[in-house]
Amino acid sequence: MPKTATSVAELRHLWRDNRGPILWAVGLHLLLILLLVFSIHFGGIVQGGSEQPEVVEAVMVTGAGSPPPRESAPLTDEPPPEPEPETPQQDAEAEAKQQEAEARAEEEAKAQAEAERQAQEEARRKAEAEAEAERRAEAKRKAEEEARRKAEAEAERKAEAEAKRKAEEEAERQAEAEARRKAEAEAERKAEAEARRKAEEEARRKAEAEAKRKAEEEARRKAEAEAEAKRKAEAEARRRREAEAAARRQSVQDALAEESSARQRAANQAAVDEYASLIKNHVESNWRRPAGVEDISCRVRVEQLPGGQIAGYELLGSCGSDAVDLSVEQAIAKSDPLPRPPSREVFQREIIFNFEPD
Amino acid sequence: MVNRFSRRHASWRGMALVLVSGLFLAACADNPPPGDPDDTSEGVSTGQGDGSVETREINERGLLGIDEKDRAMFVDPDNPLSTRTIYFEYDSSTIQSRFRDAIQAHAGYLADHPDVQLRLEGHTDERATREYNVALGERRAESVERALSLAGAGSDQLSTLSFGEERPAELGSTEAAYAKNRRVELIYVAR
Amino acid sequence: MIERLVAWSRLTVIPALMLLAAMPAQAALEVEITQGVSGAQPIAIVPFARDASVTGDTDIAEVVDADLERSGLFEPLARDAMLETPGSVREVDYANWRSVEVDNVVVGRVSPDGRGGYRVSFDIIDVYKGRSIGGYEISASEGGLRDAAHAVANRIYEQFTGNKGYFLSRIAYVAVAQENNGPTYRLVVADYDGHNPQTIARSREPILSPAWHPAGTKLAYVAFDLQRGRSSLRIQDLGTGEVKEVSSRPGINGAPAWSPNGNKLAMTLSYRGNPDIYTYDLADEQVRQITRNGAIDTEPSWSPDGSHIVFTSDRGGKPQVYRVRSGGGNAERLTFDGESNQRPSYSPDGEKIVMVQGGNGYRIAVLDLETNNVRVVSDGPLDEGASFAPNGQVIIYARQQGNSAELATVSVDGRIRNRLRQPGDVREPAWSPAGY
Repeated sequence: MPKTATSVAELRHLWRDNRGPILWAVGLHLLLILLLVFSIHFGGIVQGGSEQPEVVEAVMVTGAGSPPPRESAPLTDEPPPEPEPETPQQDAEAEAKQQEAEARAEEEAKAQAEAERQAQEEARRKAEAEAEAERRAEAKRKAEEEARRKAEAEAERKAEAEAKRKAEEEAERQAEAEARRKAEAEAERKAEAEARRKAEEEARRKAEAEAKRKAEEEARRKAEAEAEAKRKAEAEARRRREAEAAARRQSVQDALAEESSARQRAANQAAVDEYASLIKNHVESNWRRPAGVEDISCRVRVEQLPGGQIAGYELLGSCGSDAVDLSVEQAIAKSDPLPRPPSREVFQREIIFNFEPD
Repeated sequence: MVNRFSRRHASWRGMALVLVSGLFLAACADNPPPGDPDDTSEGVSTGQGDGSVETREINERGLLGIDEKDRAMFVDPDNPLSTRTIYFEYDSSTIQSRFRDAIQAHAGYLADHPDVQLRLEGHTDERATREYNVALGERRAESVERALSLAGAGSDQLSTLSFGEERPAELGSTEAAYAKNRRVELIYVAR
Repeated sequence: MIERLVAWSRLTVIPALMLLAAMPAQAALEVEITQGVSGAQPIAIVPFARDASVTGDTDIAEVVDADLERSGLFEPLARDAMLETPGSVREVDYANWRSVEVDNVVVGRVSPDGRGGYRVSFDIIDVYKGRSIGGYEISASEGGLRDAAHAVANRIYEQFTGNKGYFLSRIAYVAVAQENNGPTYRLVVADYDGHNPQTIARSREPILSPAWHPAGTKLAYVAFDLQRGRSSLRIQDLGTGEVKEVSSRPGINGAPAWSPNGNKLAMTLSYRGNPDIYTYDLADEQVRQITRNGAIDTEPSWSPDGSHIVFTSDRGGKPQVYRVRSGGGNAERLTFDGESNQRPSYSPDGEKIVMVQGGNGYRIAVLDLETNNVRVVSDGPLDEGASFAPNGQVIIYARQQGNSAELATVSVDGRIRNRLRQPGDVREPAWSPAGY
């Protein structure tokens, strides 16, 4: 995506930096197209009016005889030259002058030869009439010719105009198209730019959001990691204790298992825990903790009989002072008998009491 | 009236001296066995008789150092010398202005009688601890000592002694009693 | 005084336990004990049996009962609730004691020792173990049965609490009586419970501030000598009665406090113009000024290690407790709670200070030097003169009421209070350092 954005941006830069030359090139191309169109028409006329719609052929024609594009450019701006300079008005003036001279000669002839004049008159009249007729016919032919030519010129002019119009229209159309294309291109560009901007914005936003999320995630992860570490440390200590206890319990169970595999299957940890809890509550209610003594920590090993009667006990080291030792011993003694095991399966002959008050 | 009063004091003085001497003799003659309560510290007995104990005591003890002929001045209510107790506000050792005349009078008497010795005994009410009150009473006594000295008494004529809260003029835990106990007593001691 | 007759093994290996040896050591159910029962310990002190030849009317069990109950840590069974009164371990029917929910029973006997004195033997019996957990014998002089009883109580107290008992300690105090139209002041030394009062000094002038020598053999105190017009700081030997005057300077000679090794006295002197703390060396009789301040500095007390002296000073306006190195230097204020705090006194372990806190009356307060917590342990309105028992568990102080005062004790946590009934106006108690 960034690559595309870059290329579009490059194009935009190209456009901004080379707007003149680009417009110039585009104009030149337009003119060339117009010229081609015009040349085809012109060539067509030159060649006898046959239309040459095929562009490929037109190129060939152009290369053969039409003026170069530069010279032809003004042609698009000026009307084509009148092929015939005469007008009907000039023809009439000349005819009137001739008639005047002829009349003067006739009058002189009259004065010299009346007689003959008559005859000659007649003859002349005839000749004149004939000449006149001939002349008129000629004039008529000429007028007709002229009219025809005029019509043709008109038609040609019209055609040219039409062509020009068409060319203009075409140019306009093309200009429009170009403008539209440009507009579209611009719009597209803009849209692209907008899209790109939006995309960039989106990307940026996303990046920020991502960064933020990551930061939060990191912070959360860290906090969790710390909490986790703490929890783990605590849990570890607890787990270790529990694991040790569990290991011992397991060992007890293993030992039991050796005695009886059936009992091993029946041994249920929950039931053991419940049993341990019963014993714990019983001993705690019988332990009078010496006042004002802190940091009490000691272990007592007790052996019990299946009915809970205490068969013997032993302090595994001192509890910290004689007074605490005594209180712990008395707690054990006062706790005799221990709670009966809820089932034979959970009974354990040996119990280790850890006196670890808060 | 005044004369008779003085004579009575004179007789008390003699009695007190006899008592003191007696105690000393007893102490010397009879070395007490271990744990025996008797007189391991000197005691000073005060006079006996009817009337207000503390008034009589001050009159008696407080004027032992005054020539008998002058004692009338110290008991004449119209004489500023009769004011021989300076009272104080709570936790204060500042002498109030109403005692200015008395201070002047005693300082004047001391200046006129360079051989006379005056002991300033400081006391407090029962509030606060005992040794702290000893210090507070000492401060009051020193305050009066300074005032007398500034007013003309010779510094070699003056001494201080604080009893703290140990010798209340009036028993009881009332403000009235406290006011009477926050005091410095002017004791003219025998040479 | 006490000798242990029978030393029962604490580690009792019952034959059945031998079976365990065959089993893996870790093959056991593990049970965590995290709580116990708190409160006074039920105990029964059975009246001591006595041989017919024993004279003297001291009821040992009664004295022990009173000691243990006063400590607040024991709950002795009333005599009329006892189902039996065995004179020896053999005669004890444990079921009788379990049924009245007593954990421990003390049985004993007094017999002549053949030398004019007595032998007091006793056993501490664990009702649930069903046997003696300690047998002891104490010898007593003909008049010493009461002390023997306190010794029994000390033994029991230490057995169950781990702390030394303080029932053989003594107190010194000042008693005031109106005699012959004026007060008489007596310096009295008595048993900690107020029994056996002995007057060691008497005066018509005030006696102040008795202070025990660390060996418990001497008292320092303040008297007044009106012949000289001076106060007098003196030391009195309790054995010989000999009195030595330490200071009688002009102004204050007061507030004596012994250094922990007994070589020095801290005191308040004002002969240089202002009440300040001084130390006095008993060997060379020289004084050294410790504080130098325009305010009142008084009521010094040494830290148990001798490194510091705490004292009262009003240098901040109101009297508060300050601490200074015992060689002198800058003083540091210790108390900020309360309108005023005065007359500090160290606990034997140096971790606490007991003092008098003022503000709408005067109450005894304990400052914990580690936490700076202050706990008020008395009700007022005019309490004073507090000092620690030698084991640091109990505080003695004087409660002033109307025109008289009485002595009272309170446990350091303020929970257990007792009055020591004394006739007359009793004040300024000082607890002797030892007496085990």
